[in-house]
Amino acid sequence: MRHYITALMILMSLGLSTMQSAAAGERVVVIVNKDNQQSLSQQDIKNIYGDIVIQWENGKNITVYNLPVDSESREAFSQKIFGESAQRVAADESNRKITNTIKNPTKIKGARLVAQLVAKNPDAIGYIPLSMLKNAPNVKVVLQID
Amino acid sequence: MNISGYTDLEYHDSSAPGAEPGFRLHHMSLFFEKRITDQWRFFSEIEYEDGPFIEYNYNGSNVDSECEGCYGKIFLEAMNFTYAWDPRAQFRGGRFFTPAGIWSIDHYPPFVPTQLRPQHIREIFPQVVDGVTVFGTLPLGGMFVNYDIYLGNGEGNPGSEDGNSEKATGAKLSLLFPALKYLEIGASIYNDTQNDDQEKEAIGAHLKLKIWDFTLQGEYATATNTPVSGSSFDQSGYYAQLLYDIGKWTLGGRYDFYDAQENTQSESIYNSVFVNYHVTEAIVLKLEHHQVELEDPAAEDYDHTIGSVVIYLGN
Repeated sequence: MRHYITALMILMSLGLSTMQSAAAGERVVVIVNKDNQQSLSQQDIKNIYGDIVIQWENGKNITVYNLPVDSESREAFSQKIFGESAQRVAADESNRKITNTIKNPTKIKGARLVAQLVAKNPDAIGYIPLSMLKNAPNVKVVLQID
Repeated sequence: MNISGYTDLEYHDSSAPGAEPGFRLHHMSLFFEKRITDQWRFFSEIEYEDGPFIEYNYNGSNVDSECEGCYGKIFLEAMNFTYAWDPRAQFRGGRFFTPAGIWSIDHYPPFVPTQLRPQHIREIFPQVVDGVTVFGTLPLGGMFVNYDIYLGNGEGNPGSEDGNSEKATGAKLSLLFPALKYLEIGASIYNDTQNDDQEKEAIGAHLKLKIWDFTLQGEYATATNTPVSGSSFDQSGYYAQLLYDIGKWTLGGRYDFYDAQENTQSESIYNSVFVNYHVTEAIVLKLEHHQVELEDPAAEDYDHTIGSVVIYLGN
């Protein structure tokens, strides 16, 4: 038993040395279509991306866009909304998929495409880097993540 | 059709009598999921366990009825259709994981910290239900209520008809507190008249709490079994598991108790420590050590160590 505890201590120290910086430097904005009249709090956004709430107040199904798990913006979003890394949040969603408990899977697209799709779809929500907002007409910002 | 899956390779070492160290091709599971319309969905899982081998010998015009040298398991772990009428009420029919506690559902190796599950899982509540269920999520102030109510054939009746006219019934209720990082508390019940007419009534409770980088998870379940003749007996189990996430690492420990039949020296305790390294969100390396204490004085306590590589084949 003692050598397993020793091995665990070594692994813990390795973990400390490889711990990733949680904070990504990029500002991120959460966007919805400009025709979406529903106000959203940070908690609402967590409920939507956490697969708890899947419909808007008008009863329409929410189309949820996510960025690739290795993107800086997704890391910043995950840390702010869930308090966890993008990798952990992605693993939670994968778990819901194979346990057949997922209700509204997120769709993974690049940031530029997310801006375009949210602009076209009144039932969509997404997030993009702030720097991309000037090229994203027909969307409105519901939350800014610094 | 979305196709996904997972696979895992283990290396075991155990001081249990008769156990030899070795590799295990534990799982190769394939999931098929189809969103046929906005409301109608199909889901299935085919599991290949322990590298199954099945080959019948063909002798001229006959096939041998014996499958000599066959091993492993092929199992249709899930196959169901869902009608998602409303988030508050969805309907599912087919084979589905028994909605009971946490580990009965969240049990897949890529997303749990140990290859060994807590002992009472699948022993008190069954692994799967062949039947129908209604489930949904209801807002309740700042909280949400998840519920499942189901009706099925019961244990020992896989795939086809029931062995008796009584149906198994059960329910699970969970409260989610989304204002916190994660907090879920809940309870489960189950009732079944088994094929030998033994009555089984089970109840359980569960909790999962994430705070800072810690995750605390615990479950308790107990069942009263009443045979047609003889005395009724209880079985019970519980575990408490603490995880600590640090970067790509997860460190943890678990205390796990199970008594298969009260007053029969059948208690066993697993004291477990484990570490996971998450290479990516889809690849996990695990090392786990379990110290097993047995109540039976005729049986020796032993240790069990598993190293594993687990890969989720995402869709």
